[in-house]
Amino acid sequence: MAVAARDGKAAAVRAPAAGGALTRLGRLIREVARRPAGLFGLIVICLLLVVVVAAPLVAPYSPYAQDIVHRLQGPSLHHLFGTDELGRDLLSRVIFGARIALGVAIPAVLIAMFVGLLTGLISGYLGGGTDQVAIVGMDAIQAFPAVILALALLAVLGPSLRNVVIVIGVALAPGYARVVRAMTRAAKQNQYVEAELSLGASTTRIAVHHLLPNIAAPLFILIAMDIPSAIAIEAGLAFLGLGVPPPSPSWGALLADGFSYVLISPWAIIAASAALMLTTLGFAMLGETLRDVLDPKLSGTRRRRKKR
Amino acid sequence: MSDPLLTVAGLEVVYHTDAGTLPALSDVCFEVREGQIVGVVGESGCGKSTLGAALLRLLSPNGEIVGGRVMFAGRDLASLSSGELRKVRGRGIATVFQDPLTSLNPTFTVGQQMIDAERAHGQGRESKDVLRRRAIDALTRVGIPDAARRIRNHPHEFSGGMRQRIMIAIALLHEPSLLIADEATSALDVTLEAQILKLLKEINASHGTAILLISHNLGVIAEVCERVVVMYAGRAVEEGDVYAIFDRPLHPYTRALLAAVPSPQHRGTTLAAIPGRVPSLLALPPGCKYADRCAHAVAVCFAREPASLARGGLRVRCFLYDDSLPAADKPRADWAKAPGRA
Amino acid sequence: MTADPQSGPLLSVRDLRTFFSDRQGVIARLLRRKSGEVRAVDGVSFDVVRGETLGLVGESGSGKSTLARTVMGLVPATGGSASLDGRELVGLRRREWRPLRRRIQMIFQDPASSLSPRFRVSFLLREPYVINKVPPDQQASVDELLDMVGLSAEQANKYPHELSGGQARRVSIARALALHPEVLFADEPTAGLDVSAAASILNLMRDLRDRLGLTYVLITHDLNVVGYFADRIAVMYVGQLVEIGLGDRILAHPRHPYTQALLACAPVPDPHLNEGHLDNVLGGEIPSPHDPPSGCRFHPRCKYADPRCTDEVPRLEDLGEGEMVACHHWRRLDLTPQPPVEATAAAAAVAQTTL
Ligand SMILES: Nc1ncnc2c1ncn2[C@@H]1O[C@H](COP(=O)(O)OP(=O)(O)OP(=O)(O)O)[C@@H](O)[C@H]1O
Ligand SMILES: Nc1ncnc2c1ncn2[C@@H]1O[C@H](COP(=O)(O)OP(=O)(O)OP(=O)(O)O)[C@@H](O)[C@H]1O
Ligand code: SF4
Ligand code: SF4
Ligand SMILES: [Mg+2]
Ligand SMILES: [Mg+2]
Repeated sequence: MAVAARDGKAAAVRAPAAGGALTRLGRLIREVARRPAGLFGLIVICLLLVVVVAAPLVAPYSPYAQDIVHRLQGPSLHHLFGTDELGRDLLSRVIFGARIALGVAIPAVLIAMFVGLLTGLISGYLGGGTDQVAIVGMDAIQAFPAVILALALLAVLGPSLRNVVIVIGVALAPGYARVVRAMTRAAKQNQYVEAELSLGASTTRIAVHHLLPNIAAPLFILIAMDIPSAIAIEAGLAFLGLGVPPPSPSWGALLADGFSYVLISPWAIIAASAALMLTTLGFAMLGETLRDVLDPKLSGTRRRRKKR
Repeated sequence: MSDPLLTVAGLEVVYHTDAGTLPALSDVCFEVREGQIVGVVGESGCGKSTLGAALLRLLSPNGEIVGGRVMFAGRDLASLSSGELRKVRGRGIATVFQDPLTSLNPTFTVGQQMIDAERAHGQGRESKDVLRRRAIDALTRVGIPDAARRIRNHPHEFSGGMRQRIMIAIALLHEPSLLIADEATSALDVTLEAQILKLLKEINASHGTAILLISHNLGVIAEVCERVVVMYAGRAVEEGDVYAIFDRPLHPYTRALLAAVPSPQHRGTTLAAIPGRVPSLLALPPGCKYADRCAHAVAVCFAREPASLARGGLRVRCFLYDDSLPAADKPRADWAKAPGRA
Repeated sequence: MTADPQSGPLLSVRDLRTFFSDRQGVIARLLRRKSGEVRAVDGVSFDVVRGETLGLVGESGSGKSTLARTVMGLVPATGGSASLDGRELVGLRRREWRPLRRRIQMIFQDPASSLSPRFRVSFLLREPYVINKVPPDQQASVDELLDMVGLSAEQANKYPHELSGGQARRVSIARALALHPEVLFADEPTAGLDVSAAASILNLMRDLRDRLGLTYVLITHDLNVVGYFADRIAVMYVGQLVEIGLGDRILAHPRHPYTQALLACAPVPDPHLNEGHLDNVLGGEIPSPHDPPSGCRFHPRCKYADPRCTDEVPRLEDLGEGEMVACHHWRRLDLTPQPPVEATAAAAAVAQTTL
């Protein structure tokens, strides 16, 4: 019919779920890779993943191996990025730092997503008093900037890898809860929810089968966009000495240490901030491309696409 | 008889899409005389809106006019510069679309939008008071009570029927000689629809504005139009006087369409639904586009596209009426087996 | 097809009311502002007997869908009652509703959005059985269901967005019919469809009525559709019934001024009947159910309105034989004699209007 013809133009991924999950993922990746920003993001993230998984193989030295004689050196053939104040190889420290960055960011974002998803679904679906309480809670958390909140919480809990993860997760959770709540409320308006109810479907069935799949795509986007925030918060905390405790080579700690010796050798700062920037940029670009591909409504540039 | 105000001859429009080139209109011919109300009717996707947009060269960016001519008031619209074309839009030809809410800007008052519309068409030199006065007059004319006060309201403060009236008022600001109304009443309720149709008829009678009324509703068409163009898969398959089309339709599709309308008279009988579906524009059959649903189709219908013929005051695109075909090859007008009223 | 007068009504609705509160947010709640309510359905009563089709007409926002959703237990009723075969439906809990879902079903207004977009048709068609834990021997296969609504088996693998409007509507009908309901609410089953697609949906519904003895409540604003399909017609105006009666009678001799106006406005696909047709178009706007007019809700638009109409709410007067009208002056307005409408009288009226 006319609809089919008109939609022929729209990118295939936007159509809900034609084909199996794998082909869909493949098509999504292809669609993302077709855009320059998306391709850049994909490459950066792939490189990062390789580095993280194979850190001991890729890194030329142990990140903890000290060589006081060769401290605060500039780049050389032996130490591509130079060395820090204890003579540790900066390249290796940056590489292992990626492990910490992602090791904190991914679980933190997953926690945030999980908590946000649950709160958002419940408050969005049930509405009423539950919803009001949830909103007030989210507002209270979001009233503080994420870093300040994390700082305050860490000051109470004490710095450790686990606590950093939890604290960042809590700080980011309201973002997810808000998105999920708004999406749930919108999805709830769809007539198919009522149609399911009229067949006698339970609340859980409707939430899991019919609401969740429709809010998954924006969540995906949010995750990609939030990982850099989590990395940045982690680095910020480490910079302030409240992150993952030393001698772990967190990028923030590298920055903080480098800062003390910046007049002697700027290389630690350059290396750590380059890593931070590249990673952040990579995820941000992937997130934005995903948003364009999955949800043209959000990007606001293409409007005529929807089915009539 | 007066000269035609609008002449559409052999209009061809395509849409360029990822999936290929879509021939949305093909060889569409008809004319609108001054002060006439002409209806365009057909099923969803047959190209009615495309036709309306092509007349004003307002097709979406992937659409392209690839053939034919559109003459308006003696001038070929294709030959106009964009400045002249802008003048035609609004002053010569104005449009009203289906959804009045999306056509009005929610952030400005109705008065501001009307004054802007007047300015856009070269009445900027006049003082704001004059423009406002004219806007109030226009609103009063379309039956908005207390227009002088209402002009300060925002679009959302009006009901759907009122917003459609406002759109018509804006379209009529410059006293166009042709108004294109694309499904202008489809989103409205029966009583509001009737009000708008009545308004259109009154404007037609009092100002002599010709109207091209695009609708999928045969009742609406029968209600107000003098002439009707029936479209199918991007073609005008039948065209003529409204009485002739409704009383003695020639084309099998028109007959089937009329027969499928439910009404109390058909109570207890099976409705004559047309079998099959409208073909996809991406895979149009070579011959008559209606052939695979037509009860009369014979070999020639699948092979060649019928030309538009004049028959009994109508123009029809069907081999049933093509006397140049040898009798043996011609489809037979055996109406008993086809859906349609005898 | 007309009902057996002996048996009691299958579906009985009494003084049903559904108000939506438009109070929003914590602040308004804290201030306990007496905010208004939308009286979407405001005291509606009617009966439907087994095998009958009741047409429910009215303008947009008159509460037709809300009425159906309330009876289906999808929105809570503010008051009144609705019963299926004597079993009260209002106030039932979700669990108590379960067994009744199999007896009363609904086809929703917008076919495309009433199918969950991420599932194939086959999944959607099995869902009624999965949800209601129907034993396998009582299940119809997906192919059977598709066949029943005139779709080919290959549609089973499609997603809702790959269906046309008419096909999506058929899938919704199949879903509703999977549980073998006795009563089916059909909310605007032909809206948004092309003439031909609408005709085949109506044919399908007619066929199912004949084969399965379904009882329909057909909601529509298209008078041609109710005229074609319904045995009796109920006319709604701003949340209330203004007239109910035999379809033929209502179309030929409408009693309520609103019904008359509605009939006068309906576009007729016949240019001969249109001379002067638009002359007595009903003016004015549909009032908001948020703040309905006093007295008779139709009085601001009614050309017969007098002071009594502004003050006094007209009662829905029961004229017997399921005929009711809510107007102070209907007797005075109704100048034509009212013999019980016979088929011949209706046919004569029909003969006038045929092409
Ligand atoms: N921008 C576009 N790109 C590609 N195809 C298009 C575009 N606009 C319209 N079409 C296609 O062109 C055909 C004609 O569309 P058009 O909107 O003119 O139909 P219509 O008769 O107005 O239908 P309706 O009654 O549904 O409004 C349809 O098949 C439609 O899918
Ligand atoms: N969930 C809701 N909350 C608040 N108001 C509602 C809700 N649902 C419906 N309404 C209001 O109730 C009134 C009746 O709506 P309903 O959908 O029942 O009308 P309808 O007769 O079905 O109209 P249509 O022909 O447009 O479908 C409308 O004014 C509507 O705005
Ligand atoms: S040309 Fe042939 S197929 Fe086409 S409408 Fe006429 S008889 Fe039918
Ligand atoms: S009660 Fe009065 S206002 Fe209402 S419909 Fe009857 S005559 Fe008109
Ligand atoms: Mg259109
Ligand atoms: Mg409705």
